[in-house]
Amino acid sequence: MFYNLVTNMIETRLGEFEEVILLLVGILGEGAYAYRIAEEFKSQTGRTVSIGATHSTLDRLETKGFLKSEMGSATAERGGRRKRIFTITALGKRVLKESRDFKVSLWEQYPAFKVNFN
Amino acid sequence: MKLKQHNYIVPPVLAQRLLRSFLRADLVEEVEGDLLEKFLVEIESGSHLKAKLNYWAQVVKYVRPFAIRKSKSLNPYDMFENYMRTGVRSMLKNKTFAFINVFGLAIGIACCVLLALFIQDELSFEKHFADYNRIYRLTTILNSDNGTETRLQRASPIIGPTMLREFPELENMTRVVKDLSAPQQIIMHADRSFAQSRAYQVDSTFFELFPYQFIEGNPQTALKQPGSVVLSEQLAFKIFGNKSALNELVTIPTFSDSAVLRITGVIKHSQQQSHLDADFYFSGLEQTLEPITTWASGNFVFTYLKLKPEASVDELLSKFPALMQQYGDEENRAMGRKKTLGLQALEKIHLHSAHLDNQFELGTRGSITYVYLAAAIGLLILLLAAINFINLTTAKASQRAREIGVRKTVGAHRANLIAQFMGESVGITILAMFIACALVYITLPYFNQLVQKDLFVGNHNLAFLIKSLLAITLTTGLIAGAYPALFISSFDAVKVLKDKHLQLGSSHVLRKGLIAFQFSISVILISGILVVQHQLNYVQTKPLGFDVTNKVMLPLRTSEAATQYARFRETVKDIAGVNAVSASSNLPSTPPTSDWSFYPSDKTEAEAVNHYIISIDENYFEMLSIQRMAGRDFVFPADGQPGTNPQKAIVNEASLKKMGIKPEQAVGMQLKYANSPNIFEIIGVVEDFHQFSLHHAISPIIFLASADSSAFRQMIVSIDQKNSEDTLTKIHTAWEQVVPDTPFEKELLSESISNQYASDRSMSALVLVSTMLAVLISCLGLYGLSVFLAEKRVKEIGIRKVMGASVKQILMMLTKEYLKTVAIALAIGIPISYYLMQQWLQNFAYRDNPGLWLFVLAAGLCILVSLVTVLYESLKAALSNPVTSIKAE
Repeated sequence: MFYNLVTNMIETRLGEFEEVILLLVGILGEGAYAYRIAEEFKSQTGRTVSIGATHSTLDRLETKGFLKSEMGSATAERGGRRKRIFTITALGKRVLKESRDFKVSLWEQYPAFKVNFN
Repeated sequence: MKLKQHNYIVPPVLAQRLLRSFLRADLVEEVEGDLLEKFLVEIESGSHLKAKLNYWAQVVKYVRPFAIRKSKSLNPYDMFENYMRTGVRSMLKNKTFAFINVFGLAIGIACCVLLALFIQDELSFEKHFADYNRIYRLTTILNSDNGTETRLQRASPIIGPTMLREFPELENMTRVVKDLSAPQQIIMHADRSFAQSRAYQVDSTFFELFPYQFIEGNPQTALKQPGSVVLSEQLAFKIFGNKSALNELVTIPTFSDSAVLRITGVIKHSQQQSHLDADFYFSGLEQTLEPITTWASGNFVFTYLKLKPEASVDELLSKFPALMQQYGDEENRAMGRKKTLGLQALEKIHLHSAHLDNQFELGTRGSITYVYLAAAIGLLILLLAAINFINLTTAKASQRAREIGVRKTVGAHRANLIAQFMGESVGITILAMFIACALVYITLPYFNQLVQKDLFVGNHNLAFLIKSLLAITLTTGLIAGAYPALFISSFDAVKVLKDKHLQLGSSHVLRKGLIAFQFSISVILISGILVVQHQLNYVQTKPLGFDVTNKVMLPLRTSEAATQYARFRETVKDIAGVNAVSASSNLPSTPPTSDWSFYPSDKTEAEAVNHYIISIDENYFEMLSIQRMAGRDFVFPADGQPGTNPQKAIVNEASLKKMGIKPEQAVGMQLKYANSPNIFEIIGVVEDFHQFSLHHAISPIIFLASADSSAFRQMIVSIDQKNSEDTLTKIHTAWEQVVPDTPFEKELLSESISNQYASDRSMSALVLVSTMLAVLISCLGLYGLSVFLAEKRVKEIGIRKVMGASVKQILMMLTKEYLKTVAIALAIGIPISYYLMQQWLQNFAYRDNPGLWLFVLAAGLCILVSLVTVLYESLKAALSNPVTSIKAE
């Protein structure tokens, strides 16, 4: 349904890694910038990911319209450099929800887990 | 406090620089911040080294499309269009140069492609058989006690089956035999007969080792029954047209018996070649060879062994000496020789058989030397064309100088310029490639004649052709374009724009060096072709020791023809215009039929000398004008009666020399062979003559008179020059009356002798054509340069003329430079050529060493050609009116 909302040709499906990153941005709120997200990813999943890879995904999610970003304020730890803070857009939230609903619906159709699932 | 501590540790500077070199400007701040934060945390938690390495890793992982700075130019097509336009303009401006470049490269590429087709064809032999790399041919080396070594590609019939029985390494074995005496074999069906050049008798396992495709019949069972024959598609078509050939009967008249064979299969014609390709194969070899149990002689069987997949060749080879020792030691010792067995890989047979006897080879041998020669020639011609391109482009570079200046000022990097000029040269080569395709298409039939092949472009080689065409074109374009591109792009923008009269040319030394190289190649090829022609001329005019004029050879292919010979001779003798008739088992220029080792009866077998045995009819020596040194000629029929002992024999001079007998003592001497009770008494000695081609030294020959015509393989008729056509027609008619079942064939003796040098002539033609092309390309280049240099010095020449220089002086001045370069080329080229030609001449036992004059002639030709090339432009410059040249600015 929401596919129609996006008029340009950009890919709008959500990959597994993208979905996790999107969720992490939501979790981290005000502190969501590339390095912090990469660290959070590591602590949540146990898998290491480079800042570059994280940044690249953030950039892609922003192009798709699921994220927006703006430069934050300068901090001393970074030699006075500012951070780029990412926040989820309404579209991003909707995509996340649809993705969850879709999976839940699949789980419900899966007979082996049907009982346990409720 | 904490902060201060950190200040001492900074991320690796080089990594930071790397990051900035590619990162999008708007990302720099945040990314550097993130990476620094990460770095500091790493420092806190562990070693500095680890932190630095991690920083590097993080930087490298930022090399992603989204983060990389985009190139400034958004639409490069305008630029390409501009490159194209300037390239085309500069070609149109210098039409002569463009023509020389494109045409030269086209010739070079076309040569390369043609020769690549040839080489691919030569290399493709046998490779289509499944498991070809597990099949080997048995070879035999015979070392006689007197020191002569014979290397054969054949073996005794019993060896193959014994090996298959005793060696577990072998999976299968098959044998092939061809009628050694007959170059052609007759096959008959319903009163029509066909002479086929390739007919083999084979073991029933033949198609198991060599899986030919069948149109009709079953390869598994085709040869199981004796009396079966498998035809080639062409032969089946010739005999039966489009009808099925299966189960039809054909007759093969041979000398031993006339066999009726049932057709059990027809082989599909294929582009893939093998030395075993034949017109027909017939079965029953097992039965034919069964009674022959010798381990020492009878080396006439081609034996092919197929190894098991896991078997090792070396291990198998190491078992051969013991086998030979076990079965054949006694026999070999009695014959005074040592016999060693070896293996030759199937795929090597076509090109790598030069070390083996060539007399009875199956199929037509190729030569790896010839393949190398072809490759070298192709590359050389292409190289010469590429050199022209380099020379002319760099010489003309000053014309493009202003363009370079402007491009650099506007902001072109050197890399852009290099790409532009490389692209231009690749473009020109691609243009040349299309012309080359047309050239290949036009010249392929002539090329086929030149290399005696039947090459054509089809599905089997189209992919290869396209691949090689592209590879040749791109490589040439890049190689030829590299130096000019580097050179032109190095111009200093300020200098070329400011200085109007700046003359930029490539360094004189390089250009001269390249020209010298071109002319060295030319002089090598010119003297090469002169030497080859000289030797071929020598070979064809050297007195052979016998008379070949007006002699006609009539092959006696069937037992019918041989047995009817005596009757036919009497008929032919009476025909007007026929001077003499004789016959032989082995006329000069035909392959020998038998040989044996003879020794004087007062010596031992260890001193035996190998002789070719030739049976002759009366008049033989007289009609061929072979001179007698001692003794007498045969008296017929007395000397030719079978069963006389001692049998009368005539030997040649070489025989006496080898056996160490003086000619005056020879007559009356008795010869023996092996343990045979037969004795041969020498009644005469003839002077040496060239029984075989001049590639071979004269070998010992023993002549026997034969009253029994079944030994004869060719008949020879001496006819009058006058009305020779008429005489031949009468002979033909007589033949058809006496020998109706054998087709009439005739060949002039002189032609047959000349055919022995066919492969030499074919090489000579290849060298001749490549020489002409190489010289043409070199001259085109030289001409281009002379145009350029004359133009460049036009003002100088004008001033010199005003000051009183004569036309002659100016001509001298202009041509001297070229001549110096050509002289250097000659000094390099001639010694190389001399060495190479000496190598080639080693192929001939009889050779006329080229005198120095041949090389002087080659040098003279080279100078003449180059002089003529430069003279035109130089003369034009020298004769031009100084007023016009000085006035023009």
